[in-house]
Amino acid sequence: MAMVSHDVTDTNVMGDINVTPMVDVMLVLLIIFMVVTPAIAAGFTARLPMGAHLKSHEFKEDERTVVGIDMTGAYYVNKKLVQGCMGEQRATPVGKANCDQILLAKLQESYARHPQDHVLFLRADQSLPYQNILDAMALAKKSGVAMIAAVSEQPPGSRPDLLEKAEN
Amino acid sequence: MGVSMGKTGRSEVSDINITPMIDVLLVLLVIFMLAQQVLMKAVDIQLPKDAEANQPQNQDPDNIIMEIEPGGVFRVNTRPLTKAQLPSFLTQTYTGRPKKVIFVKADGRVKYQDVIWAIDMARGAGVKVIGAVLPPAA
Repeated sequence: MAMVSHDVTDTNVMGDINVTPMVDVMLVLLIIFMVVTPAIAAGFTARLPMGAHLKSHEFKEDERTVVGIDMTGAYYVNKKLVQGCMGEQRATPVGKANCDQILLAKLQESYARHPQDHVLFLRADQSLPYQNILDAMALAKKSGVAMIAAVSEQPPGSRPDLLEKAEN
Repeated sequence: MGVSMGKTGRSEVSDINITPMIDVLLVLLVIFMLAQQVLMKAVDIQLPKDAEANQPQNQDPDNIIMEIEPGGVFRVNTRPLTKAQLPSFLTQTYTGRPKKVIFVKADGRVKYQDVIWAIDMARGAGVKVIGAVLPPAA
């Protein structure tokens, strides 16, 4: 910034705004929002359960399957909402059987893309009745899943066992 | 930069330019956001492998089975415990036990958080493998 010499004759109080750095900062903010928005727009609201003894898993989107159950009981497979599986639709036995079929198909489709990995990441809201998770586990078993990673949050003040990195 | 090189020797401290600094910091932020591989922290729960393994209690009397019932009742190998008693009982059970495996069975009406809490306490007691007991397939 140009330091104006403190001349007595100087009456120009307002400095010229440098446009280039301003545009620069704006563009960077724009990029940040472009990166962050898809994550917010997914519309998946869930409070994950808390656990102090967690294992870290590396997560690469194409190589992992995630099932999400949000606080209303809606199911998401790989971040996409599954139509036909809302809370009310699952209330009747017919509706539930229908939803299970859809979910099973989606899970099988997802596992076909990475057949060597048999882990299901489950991001379920902590206030859900365990029945939802039991249902998810039953479906996972049918899709050939061997292990469920129940994604949880670490309570503040504790850290995951750094040595405990999951093998897969 | 406000350094004047005149003979009068004005202030030698330069003003920090804020805008380029914010710029660089934001770019670094973006780089880290993009390059970061997302790490998911989770509780690993093993699913039973086949139909017979669904009822582990029938197989091996040495297995420890934790049952969670609605109303805050926890049972370890049918012994009833309160929420407060569970962690210490688990620690006691698993100290000196070579097979750090637990089977978890919970009623469908129990809150998911409570199940995770109980599993977490088991992990705190040294359990390495957690098996889920699923209800018999309808």
